[in-house]
Amino acid sequence: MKFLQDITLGQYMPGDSFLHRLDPRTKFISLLLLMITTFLIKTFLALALLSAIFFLALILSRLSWSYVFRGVRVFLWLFLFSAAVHLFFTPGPSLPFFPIGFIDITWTGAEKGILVASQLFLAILLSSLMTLTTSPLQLSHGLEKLIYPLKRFHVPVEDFSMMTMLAIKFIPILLGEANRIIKAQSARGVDFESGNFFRRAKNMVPILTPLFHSVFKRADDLAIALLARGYVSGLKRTHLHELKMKGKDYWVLLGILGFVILELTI
Amino acid sequence: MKNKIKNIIMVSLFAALTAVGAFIKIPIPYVPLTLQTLMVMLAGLILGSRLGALSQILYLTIGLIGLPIFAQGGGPGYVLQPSFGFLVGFIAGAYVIGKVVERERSLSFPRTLAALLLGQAAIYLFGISYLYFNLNYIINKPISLFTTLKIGFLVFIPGDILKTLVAASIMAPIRRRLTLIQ
Repeated sequence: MKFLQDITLGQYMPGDSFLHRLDPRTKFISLLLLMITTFLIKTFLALALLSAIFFLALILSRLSWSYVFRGVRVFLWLFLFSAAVHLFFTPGPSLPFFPIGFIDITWTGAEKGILVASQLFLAILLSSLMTLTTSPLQLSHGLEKLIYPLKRFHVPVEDFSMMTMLAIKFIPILLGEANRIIKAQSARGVDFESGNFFRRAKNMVPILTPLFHSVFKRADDLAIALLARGYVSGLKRTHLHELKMKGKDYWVLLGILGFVILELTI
Repeated sequence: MKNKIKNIIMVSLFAALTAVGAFIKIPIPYVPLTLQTLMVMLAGLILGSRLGALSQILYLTIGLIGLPIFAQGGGPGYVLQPSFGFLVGFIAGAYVIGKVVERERSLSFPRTLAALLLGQAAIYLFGISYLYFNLNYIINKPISLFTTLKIGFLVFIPGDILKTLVAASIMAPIRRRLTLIQ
C-alpha cells in the first residue's frame, strides 16, 4: 500500500533548502546544461570539477547523502555494464599483474571504463537531485512555462499541462481499481495461475473489460464535472502559486553557464 | 466542447493506464507478460493516431519528471538507460497502430494483427536506433549495428510475436464488449 501513497510524489523529498526554493525552470535548464557537459568532457580534471559542483549542490539541498545515493541503486547495472565493456574489452598494454587467465585489463580500458562509468553516475546523480528537490507538480508547471513559446506552432500547451496533472492523479486511482478487479475476478473463479499460454492470456479479458468500462465511465463523469465548472480547453490558465524567477535564479543560471564554458575549455 | 474535454481526459487516462499496465504482471512461464505493451496498443486502437501518440508522450513526460512509472523507476536520468528508446517508440507505435485502424468501422482479426505488428516494428525501430546511439556515443563503446540487433531484437522477437498474436486475439472480445457499453 505504501506505493499507492508515494507515487504521486515520485521521488520528491519535501524541504526548504536553497535548492528546493529555486525556480523549477532554473533547475531544469541547469540540469540540461550540466548533463550535456558531463558527456562532452574528456579529462579527469574536468570530471573532478563537475563532481565538486555536484557535491556543492548536494550540500545546498540539505538531503541525506545516503538517501540520494541509495536512490540511484536501480542504475547500478548500467554503471557496472558500462565500466565492464571498457575494462575487459579494450586492446592495449595490460595493467601490472594482468592478464589473469583469460581476464585482461588494459591501461586505456581502465581509464575509459572509469571515465564513462563516472560520467553516467554523475549525470544520474545530478538528475536525481532535481527530482528529489522539486515536486512533479512544480516540474510540470515549470515545463509548461518553458514550452510556452511552442504555442505559436499550435501546440496545446495549457491542455498538455492539464493532462499531466490529470494523469498524475489518475495513476494511483487506476492502480487501486485494477487491483480490486483482479481480486474480484479471482474470487469469482478466474484462474490466473495455471493453464497454457493462450489460456492465461485470455484471462486478461476479464481484467481489461471492467477496467476499461470504469475508465470510460470515469472519463464521462469527469468531462461533465469539468464542463459544469466552466472549463474551456485552450484558454490561458492561471495557477494558485505562480512561478516567479528571482534574483538568485538568474545568478545560478549565470554561474552554471560560466562553469560550463570553463569545463569545455579545459 | 464536451468532446474536446473528453479527449483531454481520455488521453490522460490512457497515459495513466500505460503506467498502471507496467505493474500488472500475468505470470506466464518464460515470457513475462505485462499489460504495458497491451495498453500502448489499446491507446492506438481506441484513441486513434494523434491522441494515442499524445497519450504516450504524456506517459513519457510524467516518467521523466520523476514519477517511478517506468520499468526501473523514473526521472530525467532515465534517458541514459540503453532501453530508453523503446519508451520513445511507444509514441510511434501508438501512432502507427491508430493510423492503420482509425478509418475502419469494424475491425477484422488480420487487420488488427497487421496494425499491431506494424506498431511493434515502429517501437523496435526507435528502440534499436537509440540502443545503437547509446552504446556507441554515451557508453562510448563502438558496437556494430549487427551486434546491436542481436542483443536488442533477435532475442526478443519470438516472445514479442507471441505477445502480439495474443493481443490481437483478445482485442476482438474487448472491443465487442466496449461497444456494448458505450
